[in-house]
Amino acid sequence: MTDALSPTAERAASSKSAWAVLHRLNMTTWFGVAIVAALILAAILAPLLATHDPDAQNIIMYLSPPGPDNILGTDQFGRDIFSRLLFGARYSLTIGFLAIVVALIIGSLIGMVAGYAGGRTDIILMQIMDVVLAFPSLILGLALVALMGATLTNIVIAIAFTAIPAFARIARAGVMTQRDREYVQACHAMGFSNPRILFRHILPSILPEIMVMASLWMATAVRTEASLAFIGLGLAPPTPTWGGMVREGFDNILSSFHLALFPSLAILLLVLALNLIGDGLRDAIDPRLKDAS
Amino acid sequence: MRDDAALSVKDLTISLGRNQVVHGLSFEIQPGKTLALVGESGSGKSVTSLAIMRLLPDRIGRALGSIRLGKQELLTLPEAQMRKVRGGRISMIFQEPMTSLNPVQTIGTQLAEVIRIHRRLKGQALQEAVLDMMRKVRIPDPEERVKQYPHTFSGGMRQRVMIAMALACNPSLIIADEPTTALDVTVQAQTLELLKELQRVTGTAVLFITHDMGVVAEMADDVLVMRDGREVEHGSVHEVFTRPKSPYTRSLIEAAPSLVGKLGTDTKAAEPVAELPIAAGVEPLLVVRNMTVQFPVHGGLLGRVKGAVHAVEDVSFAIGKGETLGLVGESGSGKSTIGKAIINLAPLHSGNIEVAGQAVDYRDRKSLALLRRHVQMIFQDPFGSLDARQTIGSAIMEPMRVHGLQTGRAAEERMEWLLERVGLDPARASSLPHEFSGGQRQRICIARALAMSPQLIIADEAVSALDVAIKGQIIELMIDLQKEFDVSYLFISHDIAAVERICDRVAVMYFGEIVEIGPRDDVIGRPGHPYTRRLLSAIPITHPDQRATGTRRAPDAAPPRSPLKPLDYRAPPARWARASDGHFIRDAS
Amino acid sequence: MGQGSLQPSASVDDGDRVTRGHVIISFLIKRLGFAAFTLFAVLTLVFLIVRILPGDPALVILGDQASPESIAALHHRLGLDQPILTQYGQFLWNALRGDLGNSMITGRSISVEIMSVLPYTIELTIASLLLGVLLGVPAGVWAAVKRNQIPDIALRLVSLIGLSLPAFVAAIILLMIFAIYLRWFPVISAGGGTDIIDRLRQMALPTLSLALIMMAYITRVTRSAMLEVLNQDFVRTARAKGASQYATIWRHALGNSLIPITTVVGLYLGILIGNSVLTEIVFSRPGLGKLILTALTQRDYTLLQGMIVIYTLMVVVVNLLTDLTYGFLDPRVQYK
Repeated sequence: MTDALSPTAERAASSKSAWAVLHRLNMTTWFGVAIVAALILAAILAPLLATHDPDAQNIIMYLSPPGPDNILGTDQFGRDIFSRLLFGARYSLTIGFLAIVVALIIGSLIGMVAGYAGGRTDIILMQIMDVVLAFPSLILGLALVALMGATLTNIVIAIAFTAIPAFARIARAGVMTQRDREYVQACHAMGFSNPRILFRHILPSILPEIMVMASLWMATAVRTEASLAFIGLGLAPPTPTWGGMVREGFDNILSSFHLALFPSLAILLLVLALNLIGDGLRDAIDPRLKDAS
Repeated sequence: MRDDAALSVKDLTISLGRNQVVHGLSFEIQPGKTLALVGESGSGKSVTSLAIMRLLPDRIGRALGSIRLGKQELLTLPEAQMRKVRGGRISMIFQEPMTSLNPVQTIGTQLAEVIRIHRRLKGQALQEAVLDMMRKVRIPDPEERVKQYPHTFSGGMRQRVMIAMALACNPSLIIADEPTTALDVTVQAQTLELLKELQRVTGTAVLFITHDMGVVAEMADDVLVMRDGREVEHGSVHEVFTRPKSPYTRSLIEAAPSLVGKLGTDTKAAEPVAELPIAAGVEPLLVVRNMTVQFPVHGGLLGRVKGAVHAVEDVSFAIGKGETLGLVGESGSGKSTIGKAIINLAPLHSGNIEVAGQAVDYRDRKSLALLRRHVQMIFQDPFGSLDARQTIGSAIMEPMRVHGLQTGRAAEERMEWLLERVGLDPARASSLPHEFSGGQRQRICIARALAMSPQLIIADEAVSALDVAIKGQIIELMIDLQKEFDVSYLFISHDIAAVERICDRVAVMYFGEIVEIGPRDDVIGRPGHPYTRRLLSAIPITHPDQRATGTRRAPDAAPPRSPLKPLDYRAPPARWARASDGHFIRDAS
Repeated sequence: MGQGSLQPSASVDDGDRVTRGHVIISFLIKRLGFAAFTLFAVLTLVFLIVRILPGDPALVILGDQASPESIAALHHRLGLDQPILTQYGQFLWNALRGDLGNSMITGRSISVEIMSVLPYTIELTIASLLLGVLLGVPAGVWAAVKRNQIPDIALRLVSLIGLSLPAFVAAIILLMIFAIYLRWFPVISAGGGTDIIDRLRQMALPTLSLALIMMAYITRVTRSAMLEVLNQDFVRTARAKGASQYATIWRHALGNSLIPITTVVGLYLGILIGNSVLTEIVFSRPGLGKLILTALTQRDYTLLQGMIVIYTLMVVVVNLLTDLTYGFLDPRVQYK
């Protein structure tokens, strides 16, 4: 009995304050943060950094390999790949970010309400989430974009839709573990209202898990956007999306593989960086697994 | 030093990472004897046992000195040979029977593993050996149970499996690390008895690790008291209990309940009464009449309600102004549910509750708001009951603000005043809960409960998770505050020593029913109901001299009752008898 | 998980005298019910979406210059002139019989088209899954045992890269290295051929590209599950019994880790099925991916509708199998 208040319980809870989390982030996480920050900067400053107009065609220079004029070479229309990559970062980041914000808000709300209310509300809401989850997310996104049309808004909606169940589940699970904790019982015992308990007391304690989920799912969202563009369901050409560039480069893969290679590496870099951040955040929030015993 | 010791430890020093957690510990245990290693959390007692087993965490744990099993030095033994020692010549029983067995293997497989490794038995002989061990630890129907998985076993039964595994290879030393701490007191008594008996037969040396001096008095031949990784006191059990040298040991011994068994049973027969007088004597603050709490059990394809767990069955009692009523019982007796039902945290199935003369209507918002002003609660885990992200000042002010009692500066002033009252520095109001120790957090919870100026505080195992010294301080604080604020307590606990110190009256719970209620001295000193007697007699003795009365433990005569009842179940009416003034005993037949 | 969820229960000693067999059957019926509900919901959704979509399918097929008569004739042939509820009922009834209608472009039976390419996708998925498990589980165990040492750090990095790779990027990189540069494997994976060696060579790169991603997920979940289990009391018990390192890790710890691993395998098998679309495109391999691409480029809505139903069916079956697997792995699971 005397061991019930073990230091691990204290550590786990104290470990979640924002500063404590920042302090525990490891080097690789900061590496991920640096990459994402650099890509965001590149996207914002694209007009300044670009060496060429991303849409300007130059038939004479088509399919030229990396060189002094075009750092990463040109594509089949002679467009500068480096400049197109810079502008392409804008679309990947915007779509990924917006989709996750939408999914986070809607999904978390659904999950929190389901987990807190329990009973029939829970069953109905989560059954609907399970139906959505029954689709492979790529197929679902593909079907939605194909049916609605490939505009920026529709792509954001489609990707957000595929991510909603994930947020609903994590929020529900978080609420359900918190719901029976003594501090929530104490809140009930003091006569606090349900919205107050749910949003003022439970939400802050499950928010870290939701944020970890958000950074991991933003990686997935970027990947899904690129995959859709690769299939041909991205923003319409000549918009320079990374997935679309791989798709166009793939047609010339036998002769000029750099067309497909550089945008592929760009996608990999961004997704990897987002995953690094998500992993680092998770380790920092739940240090139990990292330095257990 | 004699040469025939089963285990001798010399100048043992243990460090975890950079922290040295055990400093120069020396002791030895003779075959057939028991050494109790006593200490509170963080004293280094469990680390010592892991060091003997060479199971310290890889790479960060380091032990220096000498640990000899018989004539063999263990600290320098190669890992391959050490594996033969583990389970073969030294075996171990852990604290948590619930998690110490592999959940996806059958009991038989897990028992067989240790026998196969060390006794190299196979096939039929192995099966026989497994069944034999299960019989030795008196697990009923061994042929059936050998095929079952751990989750179908109760805590006490799982601990028997652990004991069987520990004894299976005739070890020369058993390390028992708080083996009964997680068990109910009656199960603890049976488990200790079994362990003692098996030790007598096998002549094994036992290193018994515990924080409970009562268990020490029952089990040990020698005692070593530890604090902060150092030896505080070391001697024979009789010497230590009769003439403790250090004040720390004395405080541990004094924490044991003192009334139990002191007054002797009342020979005078109790006289039957027509009805239990609920509100006896004083002006009642809380009156609970015929409370029943049920949790529906769903089953079948359509999830229909097929029965109900009767957690509380027709319970009635009252608490006077400024009085403390203790509610005692073992886990699953329904004692916590009563507290929760009063404050609307558990659904009341039937019954009436009156607070300060007014009946509570649980469907009426106004009535509930009033209830919450009058009745507050303190929980077991003082960390878990505080929001980890809220400063303690804000936590104390929130109920005042939500209920519109105090706002702004006035709320702040009252919060600071309350912090002072519970013995904390108001300057720390902006700290987060994790910056406080367990005892301090419980003080914060008490301050928060007092913020509403309640008339009744329900304390649900409020001191059970605290170390002995802290426990005493919190109880003293609660008694002082009771005088100052004229508040009543419903003190729910399984800890008889704590109940004895704070309660005016005591009610004993058994399977959802109150079986005995009355003034503290009568119920604890002269128990009338057979269950109360069994519960109290299971409490470990306070001095090794009392061991002579070895046969005082009557086994539970009645078969265990299931709290799961069919839908149309109606409890038979209770019949009560009066033993003395205000002391009532439920008819057991 | 909703109503038919699996929960480890603390105790089954509640006086319930129902045998485990009965309980499993009742659980199965519930899960089947949920699977049927999911399929029904998806069928309804695709039916509605195709109907409320802007644009007349007849115009899509016949082009903008079609005469009103030919449009009406096509409407009649497609059943679009009937009341919407009748269409819905017909659609459900046909789907129930395994008839997903005809392609509005080619007029061929969708079920037949799907069945002719389905084996290729299933073959690819199962091969990648097996390869992913065979590589991922030992790698995860190894990483957990060597925590924070070089093998662990290396495996963590590799698996992080693996799960950051979009399937088409993985496929393209493998294609560039092994098919174009090294010329070990064919660039195009036609899938056919009677020669077993040839068939395997064609399958190798597509399988590997998906297996890499699967392995990344499995390595990670195995590692974290093992770390969690290795810290539990019963592992300490096993060591205190004198069990060898080998027995402790592979029998006690991995046995308990299999439960979360199964969850992830089930979950990512769905993702794998989705990702196979990309792999099939890159390697020009026949399969559902190529078919759905055809449906998209030709705006063949009825074909797309049928394919979504098939994908849902596959995922539902996978989930059902995952749920059943728990029962074998974890005796505490109570089928509710």
